[in-house]
Parts: sequence; C-alpha cells; structure tokens
Amino acid sequence: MLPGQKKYPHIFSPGKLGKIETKNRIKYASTETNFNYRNGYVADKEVAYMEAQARGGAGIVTTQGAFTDRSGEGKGYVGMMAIWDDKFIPGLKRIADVIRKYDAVSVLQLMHCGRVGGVHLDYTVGPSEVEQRLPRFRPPKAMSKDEVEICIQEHVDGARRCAEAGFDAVEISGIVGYLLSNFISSYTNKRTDEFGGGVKGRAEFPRRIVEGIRKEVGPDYPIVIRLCGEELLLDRGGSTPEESLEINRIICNAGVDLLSVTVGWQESAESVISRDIPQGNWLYVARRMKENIGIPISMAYRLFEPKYPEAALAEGTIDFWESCRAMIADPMLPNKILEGREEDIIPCMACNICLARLFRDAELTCCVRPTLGHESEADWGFYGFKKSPEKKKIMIVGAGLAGLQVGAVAAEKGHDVTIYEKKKQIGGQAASASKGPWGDDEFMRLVNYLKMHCEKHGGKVISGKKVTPQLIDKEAPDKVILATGAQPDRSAFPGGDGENVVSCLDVMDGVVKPGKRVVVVGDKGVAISTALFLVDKGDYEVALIGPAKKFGLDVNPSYIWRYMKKLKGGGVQQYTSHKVKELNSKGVVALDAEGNETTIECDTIVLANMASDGDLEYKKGDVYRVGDAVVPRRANAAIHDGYRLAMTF
Amino acid sequence: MFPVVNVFKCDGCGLCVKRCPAQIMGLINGKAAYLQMLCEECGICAEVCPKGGILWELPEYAESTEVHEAYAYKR
Repeated sequence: MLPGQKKYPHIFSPGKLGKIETKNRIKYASTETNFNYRNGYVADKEVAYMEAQARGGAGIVTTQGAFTDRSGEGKGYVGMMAIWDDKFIPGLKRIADVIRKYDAVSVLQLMHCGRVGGVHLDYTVGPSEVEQRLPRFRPPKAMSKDEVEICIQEHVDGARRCAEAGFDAVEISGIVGYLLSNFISSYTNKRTDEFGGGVKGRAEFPRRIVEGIRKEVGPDYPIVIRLCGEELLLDRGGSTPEESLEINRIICNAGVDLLSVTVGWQESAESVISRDIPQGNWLYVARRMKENIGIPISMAYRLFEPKYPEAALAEGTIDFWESCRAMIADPMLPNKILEGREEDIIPCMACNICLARLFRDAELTCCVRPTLGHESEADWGFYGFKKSPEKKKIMIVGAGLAGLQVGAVAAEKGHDVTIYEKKKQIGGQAASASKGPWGDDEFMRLVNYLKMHCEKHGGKVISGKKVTPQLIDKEAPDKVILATGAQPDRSAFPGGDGENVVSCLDVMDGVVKPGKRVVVVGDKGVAISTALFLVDKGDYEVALIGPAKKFGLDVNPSYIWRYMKKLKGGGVQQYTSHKVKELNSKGVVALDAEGNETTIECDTIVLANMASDGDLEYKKGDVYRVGDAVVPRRANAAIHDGYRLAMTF
Repeated sequence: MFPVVNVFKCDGCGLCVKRCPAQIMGLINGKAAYLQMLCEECGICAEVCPKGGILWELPEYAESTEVHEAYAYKR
C-alpha cells in the first residue's frame, strides 16, 4: 500500500463514471490553454500538455472545451479546439490516445461560450439581448428558435465525434457565462418561448442537449455536465440557489452520469476562486446538489490541498475531486500525493495569471511552473533534468523567489549551489507579502517548496549572512547570481531619508510600526498591497499617492477589482496622477496633473516605489542578474527569470 | 508566443512602452522594441497598440484537402 492510499483512502479508492471504473477519485478539470491552432486544429503543444496531465496520475482527465459551430460563435478563446467537423477528429484522437495510454479515463468537453464567445466576431449569441457587464465582451444577439435547434444538433454531432475520436465520455460545459448557463440564468434569459420563462423553460435548452446526446451515444456512454450550483448574480436578477438546484435536477434527470458543480459567473461581483476565499469554502453548494439530485457530484473550486477533498469525499459530499489550477501548477499532483511526496507539489498560489493570459488571447502561463507549454521540450526539464556534465560552483546572492528558483533548478542539474540571504527569514519580498491579509500567507508555501527542492538536491541555503565582494572572492565560485531583489527607492525624492520615511517591506515585516496617519508612495501592486495590509490592521488612516492615472496596472485584472473594492471599503484616499515633489516632516508635497501643489499631511510616509537593489556590485567573472534585481516586476517574473537562467547551466 | 513589432506600421507613439507591465519596452529609431528574454508574453502591448502594429496571433494549421477515408462522411 502506498503512503497516499493510507493517508487519503477516499481519494485513492476506485470510482465509477457511469459503468467505467476509474483508478482514483481525482479528475483533471477542463481548462482552455490557447495552445492550439487559430483554426481549431489540435496542436502538438496541447497533446504534450494533456499527456502531462494523464501521466500525473489523475483517474479522469478532461480536455479543454471544444466549440461546436462552424461560424465560431461558440469560440471564446483564440486557441480553442474545434469539433464542428469530422476533419478535427484525427487531432482529437491524439489526445484521447495519449490520455488512455496512462490508464486514465478520457473525457472530451463540448463548450459553446455563448455571451463570452465569438472571439473573432463582433457579436456574441445568447438567449436574449442582455447588455454585457464586462467591457471585454461583445454585445449579444438573441438566438432565433431555429438557431437554438441547430445549436442543439451541433452539440449532439459534437458528442458523436467525441465518441468516434475514442474518448471514454463526453462533458458539456454550462458554467460561468457560457451558453448553457445563459439559458439557465434569469439574468440573461428573457425569452418567452419554450426555452425561457420559469425553471422548466430555462432548463429546456440544456435538457434537450443531454437528451439528444443520450439518444446519439446510447445508454452506456457516460455524460458529464458542468453547471452552476449558485450563480452569485442576484444583484443582476440571476437565478436563486433554489432555482439553480431545480434546474440542475431537471437537466441531470435527462440522463447525466456526473454533475460537476461550480459557483459564480465571470460577471459575478463576488470573489469565488481567488486567494481571499478559504479552501473548501464552496463545498456546501456541492452538498446541496448531492442531497437533492442523487447522482455523483464533483467539484473543483478552491480545493488545492488534498485534506479538504479527502474530508468531503469521506462524508459523501462529493464523489470526485476536480482540480484545475492546482494541476496546471503541477500535473504530477496525484502521483506525488500517492507516493507520499506532498512537499514536492508545486503549490498553486491562486494568482490567476492563467486566466489573465487567456483573456488577453495569450497562451496559458503559470506563475509557479515555467514549464507550462514546454512539457515536450527536454531542455525545459518538466520530467526532470539530466545532470549537467560539468559540476559548477554556483553562488546565489538573495533567497527571494528568483534566487531560490535558480538554486532549485541548478541543484537539480547537479551543481554545487549555495544561496545566501542577508535577512534571517528567506523568501524576500514574497515573505514580506505573505504577511498580507486575505490568504496571502499561502506565499510561504511557494517559498518553502523552492527551498525544499533546492535542499533535496544538495543545495545549501544560508540565511542571516550578508554577502560582500570579499566573500565572493573568498568563495571563488564559477558563477555568481545576483538575485538581490528590489527595495523602495529613497533617493527618488528630496527628503527620502527623513526619519518619518520608512520602507514598505519593513512595515509588512513588522520591523517598524507607522503612526496613525500614513501615506503610501507608489502606484504599483506593492503599494496597493501595503495599503491593504494597513487597512486590514484597522487603526490607520491611509492614503495612496502615485504618478499613474490608474493604480495597479501591473496587477492581475482578476485581482485588481477586488483590491480596489477593498481599498474603497477601507477608506483609503487615492491620489492618482500626483507627482511627489518632496517628502518632509509634515508629510508629502505633490503636484497634481494641472501642476497645483498640495501637501498631504501624515505621521509616517511608507515608500513602495520599488527599484532594483544596487547595494552589491560585482563584475568579476561569470556574473548574472535575475528577478527584480534586473527590473522590479511581479512574482511570476522572478520565478520565470530564475528558471530560464538556471536551465541553461 | 512572443509579440512581433510590425515596424512598417509602428509610428512610435510609445503607448506600449508605457503600458508594458514588465517595463521592458522602449523605442529604437522611433520604433517599438523589447527585451525578449524578459517578455512575459502577456499580450498587453498588442492590446493597447492603436495602430495594430504588434502581431499577436496564433498560427493557422494548413488544412490538407485530402480526407482520410476513415473520416470521410456523406454530407
């Protein structure tokens, strides 16, 4: 018996999808990647990614959604794969084959993106013409009754192609604002024909799709459906939780084998999957479905660490643990849990950079796993690095994310690695940021993972030791990596060295306690985090000042609106388009966009204008700079810098 | 996927330089240019470019006209 089976007996017990047995209860949930060709054909990159997911050990592996219509109305992502013609079957078959090769049950997802679709068109389609809330999406046109009938048939044809391509089951996506959910929700469905009205009418479109597919694929072929358990759209006239339950029941009764429950829409004004939501938060929604619908249930949202789904499986709330972002971050997650190597799991930070990329027509990217999209390229080392033929002595200055990542990869490649950190605490800015509110303590999972990875391969991490050029000379390494990160720039303004001026990192670390009235200087994410940290503490009057027209342009769009909401809620005064002229004992003197001078009085000025730390200069021999020491950026840049550099060693 | 500056369209307005979250864009001879090794492939430069001067498109698969007989259906 493997350690994981002992520790998580429910996760690693066999499951049933229809009549098919699965080796465990883990289902890799579907996600778009934008890895495929623009015209819908499956690309090698996608096949390699799916292979990684299947090799990782999940019982069920789901493909990304495939759009079902020729016109591209259902296509919501530029690199989404297509299933509207038989010509796509050979490509899809490659995915089915690669999943089956690793003893996983293969599921293909059909997805019509509805009001968030039509990525190459100037309109979208939906049940009714309801204005978009998010500016990115194009205005929806109401579908005629004939068009609805055609759309149902396209889904049925898609399911037939799915079976022909060799997939074990078919999944239909009806979540977060895609077409099925548009028909289900009273927010977007204002129809008066048989596809609208009460719960029965709004359930009719998905029900007909399930009924049609069931007829096409026969009684034994499993049908999975993803539906919202709660839309979180009551402010817009969306369905109530009771209505959602009733609609889901009607749809599932038409012949569904597994219901994957989700929560919220892209248009919901509440946090659903970000870090501020505690893990396991949404299980109550799954429980309601389980108790009232009586078919197997799976759920993905905010279940990163196995203890949460294990408990939910044990009490019968869910039948399958679905995992999406956690398995983008580490496809090997199931096997690592099974083998009792949980500390080896690359931890997802719920940073949502993956989502942000998809919405900018970019390829899927992961903050914590730079190998995403490079699974088939041996030099990226997704399946492990070969030892380097020549062992080099590598000295890394700074144990922030960039330094640790260089160390982790270099050590894995067999080099003699030592990382020096001047502070007692390792992690650099990530460690400081982990003191922030609303789940930011999760950053330390990443720091600890990188340290563990480095040490496991023989790397050393020495904290509390400041590196001087003399020390480097004495150690005489083959390569020197300056990963010294960034510090607030005191020299940027006159008066920056005043007694009332402190560093945001010291504030977050608890080294200094600011006075009651605080002005945070800076317009990027670090400044916002500092302000939020102070707001959360509760006894400060906070103002934020910076030259940008809009604060936090470097922050992920799926976080910035929450941050702004919290800044507003915390009464933070925001001085945008303000150029700081001088810092003095009274406060901050600044010029607004028209050139008018104002003084914002305060007790403490917290600097959050990050600049590369130029404290240590060293130019002899083979010297590299990575992370914020090159240009101050976000955490993903530090990690990717470190990885891309070290993989060449 | 890395962005490609179409130098024949770029008029050097510098909006991408301002908006690049990694601050790795600049102008060379009045045309946008960037440090590729630091590029995060986020696509913001292409999104903000008012001239459509930055290519940011996935490749198309060249369709073969032949269809394998196993997949040829009557339509």
